[in-house]
Amino acid sequence: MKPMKKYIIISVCLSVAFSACDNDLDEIVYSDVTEQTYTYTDAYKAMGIVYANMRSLYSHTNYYMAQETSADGIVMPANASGWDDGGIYKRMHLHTWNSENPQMSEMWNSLYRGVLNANRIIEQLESGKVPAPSGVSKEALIAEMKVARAFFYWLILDNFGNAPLVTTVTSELPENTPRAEIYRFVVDEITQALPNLNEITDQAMYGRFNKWGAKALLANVYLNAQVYTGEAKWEDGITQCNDIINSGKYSLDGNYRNVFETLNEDSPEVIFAVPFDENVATGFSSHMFSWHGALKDKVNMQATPWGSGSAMGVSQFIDTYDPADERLADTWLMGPQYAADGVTPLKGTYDQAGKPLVFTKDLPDGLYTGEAEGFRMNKFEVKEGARGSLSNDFPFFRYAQVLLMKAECLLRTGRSDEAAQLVSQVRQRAFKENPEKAIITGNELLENSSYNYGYVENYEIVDKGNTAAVPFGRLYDELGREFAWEAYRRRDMIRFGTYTTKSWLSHKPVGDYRALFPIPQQAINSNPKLVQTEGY
Amino acid sequence: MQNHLLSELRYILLLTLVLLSNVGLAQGIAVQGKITNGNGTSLPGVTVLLKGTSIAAPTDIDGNYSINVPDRNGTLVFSYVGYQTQELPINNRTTINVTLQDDAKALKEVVVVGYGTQKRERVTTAVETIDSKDFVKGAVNDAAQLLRGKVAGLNIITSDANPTSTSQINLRGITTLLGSTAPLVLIDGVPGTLTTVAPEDIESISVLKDGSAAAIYGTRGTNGVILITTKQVNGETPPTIDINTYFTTQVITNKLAFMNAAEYRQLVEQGKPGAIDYGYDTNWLDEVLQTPLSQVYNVSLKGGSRNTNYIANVNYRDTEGIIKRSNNQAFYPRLEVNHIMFDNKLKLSANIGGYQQKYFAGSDGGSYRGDVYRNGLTYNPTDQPRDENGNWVERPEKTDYMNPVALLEETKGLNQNTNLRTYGTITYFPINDLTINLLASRDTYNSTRGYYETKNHYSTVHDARNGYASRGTTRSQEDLLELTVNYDKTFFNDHHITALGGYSWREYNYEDYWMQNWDFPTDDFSYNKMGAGLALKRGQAPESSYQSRNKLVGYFFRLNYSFKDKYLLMASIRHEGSSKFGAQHKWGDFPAVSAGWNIKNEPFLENNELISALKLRSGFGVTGTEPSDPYMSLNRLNFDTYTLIDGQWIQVINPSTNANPDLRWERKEEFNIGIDYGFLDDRISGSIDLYKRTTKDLLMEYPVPTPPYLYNTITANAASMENKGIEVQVNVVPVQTEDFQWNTSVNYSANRNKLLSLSDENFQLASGYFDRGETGEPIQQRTHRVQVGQPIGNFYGFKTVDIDENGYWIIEGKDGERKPIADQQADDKQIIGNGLPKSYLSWNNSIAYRGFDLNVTMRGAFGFQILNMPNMFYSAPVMLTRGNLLVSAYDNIYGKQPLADDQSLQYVSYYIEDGDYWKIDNVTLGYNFTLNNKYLKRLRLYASASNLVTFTGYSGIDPEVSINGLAPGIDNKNRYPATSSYTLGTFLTF
Repeated sequence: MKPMKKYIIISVCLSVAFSACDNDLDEIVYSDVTEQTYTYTDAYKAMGIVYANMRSLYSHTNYYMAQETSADGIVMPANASGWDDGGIYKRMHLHTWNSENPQMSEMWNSLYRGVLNANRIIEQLESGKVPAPSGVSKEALIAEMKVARAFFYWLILDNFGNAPLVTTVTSELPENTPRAEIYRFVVDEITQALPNLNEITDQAMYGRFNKWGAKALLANVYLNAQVYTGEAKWEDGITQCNDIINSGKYSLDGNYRNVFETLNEDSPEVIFAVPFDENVATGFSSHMFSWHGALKDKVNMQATPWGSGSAMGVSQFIDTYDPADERLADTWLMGPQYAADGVTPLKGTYDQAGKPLVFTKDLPDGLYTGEAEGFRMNKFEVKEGARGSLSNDFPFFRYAQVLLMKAECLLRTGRSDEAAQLVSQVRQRAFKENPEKAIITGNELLENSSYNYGYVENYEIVDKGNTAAVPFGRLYDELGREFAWEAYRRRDMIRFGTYTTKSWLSHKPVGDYRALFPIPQQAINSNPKLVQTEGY
Repeated sequence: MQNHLLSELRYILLLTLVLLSNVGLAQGIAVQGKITNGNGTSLPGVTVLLKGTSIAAPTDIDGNYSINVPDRNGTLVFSYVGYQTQELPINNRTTINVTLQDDAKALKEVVVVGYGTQKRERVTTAVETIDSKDFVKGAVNDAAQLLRGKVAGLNIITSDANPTSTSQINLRGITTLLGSTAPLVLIDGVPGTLTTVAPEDIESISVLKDGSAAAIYGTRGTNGVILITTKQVNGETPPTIDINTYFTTQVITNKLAFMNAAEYRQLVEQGKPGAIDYGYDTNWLDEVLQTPLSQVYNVSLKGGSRNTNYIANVNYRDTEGIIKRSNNQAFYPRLEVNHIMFDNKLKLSANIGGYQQKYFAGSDGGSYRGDVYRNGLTYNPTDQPRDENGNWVERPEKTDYMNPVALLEETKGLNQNTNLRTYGTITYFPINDLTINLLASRDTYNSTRGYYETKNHYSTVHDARNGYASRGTTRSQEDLLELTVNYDKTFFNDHHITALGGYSWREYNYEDYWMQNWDFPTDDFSYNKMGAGLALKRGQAPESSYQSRNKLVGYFFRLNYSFKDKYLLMASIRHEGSSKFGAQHKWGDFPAVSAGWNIKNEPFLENNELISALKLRSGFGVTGTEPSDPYMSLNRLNFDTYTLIDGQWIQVINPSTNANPDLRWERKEEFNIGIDYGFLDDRISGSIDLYKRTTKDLLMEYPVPTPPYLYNTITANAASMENKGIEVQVNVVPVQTEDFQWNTSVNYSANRNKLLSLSDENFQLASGYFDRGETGEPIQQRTHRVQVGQPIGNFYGFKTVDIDENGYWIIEGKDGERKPIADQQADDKQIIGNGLPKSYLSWNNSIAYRGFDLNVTMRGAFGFQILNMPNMFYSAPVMLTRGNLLVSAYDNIYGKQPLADDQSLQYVSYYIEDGDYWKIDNVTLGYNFTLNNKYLKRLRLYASASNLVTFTGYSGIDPEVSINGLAPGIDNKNRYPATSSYTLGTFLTF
């Protein structure tokens, strides 16, 4: 037995040696930081993500193009270079989208991501985990975040109707909250936040919600209140607009194009912008999905637009422009295209292979076009040497919109002449050569829309469809022209009653329920408590 | 480092030589003789032992031995691996010549199991051991290819001929979703990969198929365990050099029938939209393909005394691919030294090995750029590679359209990888029957990558990169320490127990650095002067670095008991902890039990002439899977997002993922029942296994709703899945004579997979499905649906039933009615196939006639479909605007008429084809020369052909497509093409 003992001793020694091996299974991070160990020192570093979340709204399969291509101004047809992608763009035009269209999940996810980040940061600010910088009150930052959250909730209730209203950090699956209740939440939150918001309009608050941005947001919510709750809030809208106008902090930019140029952060017209940068804050690529690949040489881009581009003007919409309206050329890329030298014609590649690239207005239909058909995006400057993403900031709320919101509230409450003055004021810079054309009267504003609605086959309107007059039609037209490519058209059409009733291009009315988008299937699938939007 | 390594090697060599010179000489009466095999070839290294003593001697290089025995009354025992051991009494003779007989059976006697070996007749689990002589002959790229078609249930797929790609392995179906489906590979007990050792340096491979066998490895045992044993040296061995070298060339299995210039011009004449005649005639595929020549050299030197022996193996492989410039050069050195000391009580083994690899990087970080082959198919055949001025012709306005020759020629890239594995074992035998083993290993891997696209590359033409460079480097280190104690004892003659206890500690560290830059002043720097580019300075180009670490700690215990080798029992448990899980869920227990009844050893069968083996066995075992990535349970934050604050773009805090603090082990429970049989002295033998594997707490990227979750997926354990199957192995020796032997074996496996649930208490996926797989632009659809109650691998899309008079698809709507494809709704989609083969069959033959041997391996997969992506994209006229098409693009669909020129691309059932195939996978003819040469002991020449003939109804280039992941069965349009290969080789032994 003696040797046995020796071996036992050896074994024990070995085991002891092994206990030197570290059995601790706690994870050690190197190139990550964790919530548990990170110390917050800068409130803006925490808050910033909420604003950054807004940028994702601008992809061609998110909020931006969902607003535009489901409306009557812009369409994204397939063409020889592609752009079918399983029909996801076509279905936006036809109002036959379903809950699996990526636009639904991308919009939903982007908007709620903003909400969820805001919820977390509001709690972190309240608890002091995220400290306010010296000279700034914690309440001011909380108010700002609450307005940002209200901004996301406004777009949620606007697009999806009854949707979850989550205001705290939780992992509990939420149910739908009625649209009107979300509306009340949005109004209350902004109203309560206003006293704590600052009035600074310089670069310190650029891209963030100051008092005027919050008021512009609130005015938009009131403008559409009737759609959301059945109860109009025109007077409240006027009040918010007046506050902004009377503050004297903003004015119309003398030059329409300046509002959309690459360095548009200095425009006096911008009240709230979503800032972009071609390198560090990408995501604004309207040139990539509207422009033809050959246009790369137009401004010596450092990227090639996708195929022959797709997003283009609906010909009937283009027809609503007065030829003298400078916004036509300021908004749309038309006619023959040249390289940066201005003389070398750019050529087609597909059905116009080798032929000069000339963008034409008329579309055969909204489903499939030639590579050079349709006017393209010209509103946002595409700078010399542009990359795949633009540095132009997206002006979400601007002074012209405040003026026209006020005009609409006045018009709808019987003050058409007063409204006409505001509309004329906005139109002035669009008719610099023909100033008399800028003037519009109250009575004119009340006329039917000049939009020649109807279903198009092979370039011709073959079925006018619903021909009922559009009330306040000329203001409606004005909104269309002034805000083309600015993601307002769907909301405006719904407010003016045309979105689910009129026919344009290949679109025919499908049903009033299409005024809301379906909750994405992905969300329904993973949250059994959610009820799908009525009609879907 | 290099110098340090060399000096270490030198030291070991020196040590070896010193030890070698110490071989002692004994005294007494000398008995001598020559030992040969059935072919008359002399056998070096045969152990000659005086029975009942430790007096022994080896044969020398000529097969001669001389042993000094005390007297002439003893019995000599002649033993040699792979031959039947013979015992001959000396009977006063001084010369005893012996012919040893091959013993296939002897080889099968012992199998390598987890942490040790076991007598085959005592094995109670589903374990298969394949010895090197049964490996697939011919050109192989990795260890798995040696086993192709050899083991029932182990399906090895080579979906392309890229010289840097490794085989896909699937054992008993798909049992895990998130972790890799590849089995755990252990090389001499140390974790590695299928390319960690040169295939020619492998002695045998064991496959632990069922859960009760794999459970001792707990972690990562779910997909089975592959135990690779490298070439070994045992006992006294004269210095022997083995050389194995072969040369291989390849041809593409099938060139897809794209239009030539003349055919294409007809379309131009017809005015088809998108057809352009540039006036030239180019066969683009030929422009990017080459006739490759690959060379492999394996040289091994082994030898040693009873106490100290060594094996040195050097392997060099220079492989070329069918696509121009694609290659893979690797150098595998390995040195192993074993030493026994202290009266055989202590055995030391030191092993140093690894590889140095380099290959052309055709893409940033990777070896092959898929667009090269695809554009070789689709570039306009009337276009030319270079214009009159010698510049590349590019048409950058066209989507996804690049001059494939320019892509190849204007790229500079080199990836260099170094793997260094050092490990050693100390084995101590303190008393009889007790073994204490300590294994320590360190495996370091370094990869350095460089990649450059010149100013003439597509990246400048299309994206104005003006010279684009990328550099990356990776380092990983895996440390392993294992202590095992094994006790093996027979009590009272009939009771045999083996008890094993162990502790295992493993730490893995991973570091990666990567940067890109562009806008270089000149191409001359290539990727060697990253700072010369301007994009990094402008803040446009990305840089990144990453480091992670994870750890596994395990305790395990196993007990084997057998009574009279008739009744067999095994029980094991592994208690294992992984750092990757949530704080409260780090540890898991993985038990296994199995039992066997060796009926052959019962008295009523013992003398049965017909039945030579019969054993029933059954087992149950639990194995675990950890996620591939660490830190999933932690709330991680990143600073990758910028926001404009006060005119400055500042880095803001962004949560990285949805953290799951409840992340825990995935558990697979497997029940296996099997029978091993042998008839007529094992002329007919084999096994049948039935299994059922249920994976619970399945780790997956689980879809979760936003809100309340910030992101749409979370890594969670919220699903379960079942696999059921059967494996049949039949080995027959139909002919066995002195001169002629024919061995044939058939193995068959079938598996049924079913997803049982996608919900648990925390997560409920109301839909019961989620979609995976991508068609890519311009279809942008998901290809597969993962659905409760259905198997993994279902293709999910529109079912085409007809074509209308205008050339547009007619599909079947959800109500079963026909409808135009333009009216498609998401819910019209249905299951239109499944990409995972339901059964596999293979048939191996080996025929030996005198010095000749012929091996024929055939194998096939059945009951599955393939999404023919090249067909889906390039047999649709609408794609003419993006380049060349298949000749069949204007053929009638459903015998009616071609697709309309503007019928957009659609992911429809028309492109789902049956993939069943039967391949004559390998044919090897060899000849062993009868030699009587003083130096050359063995000479074998052979010729081999791989992937020779495929019988299939599938119209793509090869039906052996990727079966990995949740979207199996896609014949990707960017796939590296499959090839047939032809090999000439020789074995030499000195």
